[in-house]
Amino acid sequence: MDDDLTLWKNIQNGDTRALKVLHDRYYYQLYLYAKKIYHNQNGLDEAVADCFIKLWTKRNEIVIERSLKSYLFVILRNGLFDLNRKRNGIILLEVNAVPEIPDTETQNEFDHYARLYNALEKLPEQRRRILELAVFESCSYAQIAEKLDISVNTVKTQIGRAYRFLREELDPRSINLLFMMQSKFSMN
Amino acid sequence: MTDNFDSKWEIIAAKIHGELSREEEAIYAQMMTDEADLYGFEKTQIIHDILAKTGPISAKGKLKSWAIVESGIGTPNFRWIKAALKYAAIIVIAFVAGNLLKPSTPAEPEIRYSEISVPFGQMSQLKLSDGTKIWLNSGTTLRYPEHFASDQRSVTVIGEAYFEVAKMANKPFNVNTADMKVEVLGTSFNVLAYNEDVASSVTLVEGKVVVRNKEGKSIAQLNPGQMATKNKTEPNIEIRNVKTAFYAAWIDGKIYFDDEPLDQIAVKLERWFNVDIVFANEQLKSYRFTGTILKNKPVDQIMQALELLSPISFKHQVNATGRDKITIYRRS
Repeated sequence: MDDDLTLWKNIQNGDTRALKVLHDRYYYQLYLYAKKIYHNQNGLDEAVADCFIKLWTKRNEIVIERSLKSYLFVILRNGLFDLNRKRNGIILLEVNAVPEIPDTETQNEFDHYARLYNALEKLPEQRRRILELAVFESCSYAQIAEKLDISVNTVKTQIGRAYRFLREELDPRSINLLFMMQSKFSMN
Repeated sequence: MTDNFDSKWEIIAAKIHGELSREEEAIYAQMMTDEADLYGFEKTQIIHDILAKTGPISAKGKLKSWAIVESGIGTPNFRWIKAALKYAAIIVIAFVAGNLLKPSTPAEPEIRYSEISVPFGQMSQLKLSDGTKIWLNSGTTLRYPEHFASDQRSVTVIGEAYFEVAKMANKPFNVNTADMKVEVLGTSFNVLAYNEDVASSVTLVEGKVVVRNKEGKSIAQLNPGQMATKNKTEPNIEIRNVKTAFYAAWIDGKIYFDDEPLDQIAVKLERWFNVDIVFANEQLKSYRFTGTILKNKPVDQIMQALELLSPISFKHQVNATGRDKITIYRRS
């Protein structure tokens, strides 16, 4: 897999496939960050997509100083800020708290969340649907069976396999970090 | 691909979703004596917890996002759409321009309103067309006309706002809240009227204001240093003298607490820092606290300050994708 710098060189040479690889690599991270800042708002999808459009149209002017990934977070932060300002139809003279750009540690946390969602994406269609009903909509096995017109036993097998797949897809380091993030207390 | 692991994973999954039968509970208990399985289960639970807490992000989102990018950078497939949009734009402009050119009637122009909402955890400041300055606290919505009417200036606020009203003798400035109206003649004052709070209040720093009820009847006149508080369920208003510095401190990035119970303090902290605060001990909610704290510090530092000054301790649970959670305990 090409690293970010190689992708960036190819993007500067006008390679849209490299842009797509970059997009797919960071979509979830950026979306999760947008969701954390403006969790109740519409237009987050557009804001994320817009980062890549901006990166593409300015590819010959942009100089990447730190990392391409940090740069994407900066473009997104500014984009979200503009989105909020436009929606409110007003020019703010001063805003005390411009949303923070995530530091490297937080960016890594988003990476691990993104791995989980990327793994979820790889599940076969029906298995994913069944797991999503159970996890996101808190459906019981019986409710899922009825909804999808399958047997409770199938639901049971599929959910077991879904967890097995996710568990195996995530490397031990990701699992451990996710585990730590969940139980992280800043003090006491 | 059925192997003997499949049934183990079924049991682990069923445990997570509370779907174990009694016989399976026994098998599960047996599995748990095996440490490797205990380990595997514990960490699988994390997968569930994180997904459940973060919520769905559909795989379609990624495809949709890329489709937007593709159309934005004008790859061949999308060029014709862009071309079509260009003509659509010309038509729209022509239509608007046509409307503008129509002779307008000389009647009072229709007032158009703008709205600004400040997200939780943020603050903002703005200046209206008449020169009035307004500071908006976290989670506040302000509705105001793009241009003021000729005989009065009127805005609506839900939340907390501090006003420095530009003086205009024959054009009073009105602030409407859910259950009060404040009429002003050039002055500085603070309005506190969040929907979820039980009371709203107006604190006058300088100048003169008249407080009216929803129906427009005058119910109080304030002098500098006075605060009017109205409980939402009662018709009467309470007026007392306060240190205005306490109530306007937030515009300088300070947090004031004037003999306030912890549960009300928690509501403010939730708004300002965009966190959820829960009490492990009910009695702590009524513990009263007085003091001023700098707001532009991390929430943990604020909590540590509170910890020093009251019988509490706290735990901060980080949630990378939603609101962080802070639990307040009685200090033993």
